Amino acid sequence: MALWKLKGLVDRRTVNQTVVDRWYGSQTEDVQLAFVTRMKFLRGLPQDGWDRPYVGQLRKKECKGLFEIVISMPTVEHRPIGYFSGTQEFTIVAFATERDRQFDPKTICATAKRLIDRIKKGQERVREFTFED
Amino acid sequence: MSLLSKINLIKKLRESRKARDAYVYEHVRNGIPFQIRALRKDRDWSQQDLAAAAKTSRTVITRIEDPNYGKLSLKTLLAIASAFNVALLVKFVPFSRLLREYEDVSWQALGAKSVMDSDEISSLEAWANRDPNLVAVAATPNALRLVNETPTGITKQEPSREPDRKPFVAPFNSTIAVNFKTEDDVWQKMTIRQ
Repeated sequence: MALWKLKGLVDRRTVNQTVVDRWYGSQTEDVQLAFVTRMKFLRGLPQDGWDRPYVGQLRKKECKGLFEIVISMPTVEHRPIGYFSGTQEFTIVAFATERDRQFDPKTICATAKRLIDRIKKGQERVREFTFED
Repeated sequence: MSLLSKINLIKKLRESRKARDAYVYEHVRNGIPFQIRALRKDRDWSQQDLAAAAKTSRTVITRIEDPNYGKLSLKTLLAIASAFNVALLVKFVPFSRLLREYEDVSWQALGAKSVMDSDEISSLEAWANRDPNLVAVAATPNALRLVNETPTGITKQEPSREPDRKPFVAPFNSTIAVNFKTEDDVWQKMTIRQ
């Protein structure tokens, strides 16, 4: 039973494809299944369950208000970045990887915050993404 | 738009061993930590409470609740099951069962009643007292005839005028669709999952 609506920022370069669709399509099968499975478990959690080690609030000053979903693969740490965009609603706006506590790309927080700002101003669109339906 | 529809998932699982392995791995490495946390929260226990009940350290509990940790020993799982007073089922199963098991992964669905719970005690007693020939259902006035079993595991039945037929024994964990007549002489359908 899904308690959450999961959304992705619509990629401006496409008609209706979100950054989630684009990132998902570029990943290997095992990363795709890791992402979908993690999101499946997260969407069944009550609000107070959305915390570490599954989802973490970013602490650095430039990342304030952003959250990362922690997905560890054998060689890469994936970090979908997003924010709580409404009641039981989480929107992913960007993807990064993490190594030695550093995001790649390093400017991901600034980018994500700029995109969220544009979403709130109605300058960017978001769309729900689903799976196993 | 769906990232991975059920149909595409089945196709992936059918075609690729790597996908099958990844699917199992991801559901084990997420399923157990999420369930342990759900069971702990359901009991209003802290990680320290669970550690004490399982005779282990809080560090171990922190690790096993982390799906990114990915290393779980049977010994630890047995200790956690004992602490929660629930059973632990570790069993090789067909993919069809795994998919059904993990269809609903909400905290509610991940919950498991303790053996001390009154509902669980009633359920255990009902199991102990039941007629072994009546595993699933034979509750309608006229006996029911098994027609066929669909690929989805749903067993369809239709009415029969064979009052003395033997009761149908349904396979464990199956869903049965039963047609029955109400007092108003109207046929209705009921599904029972055991």
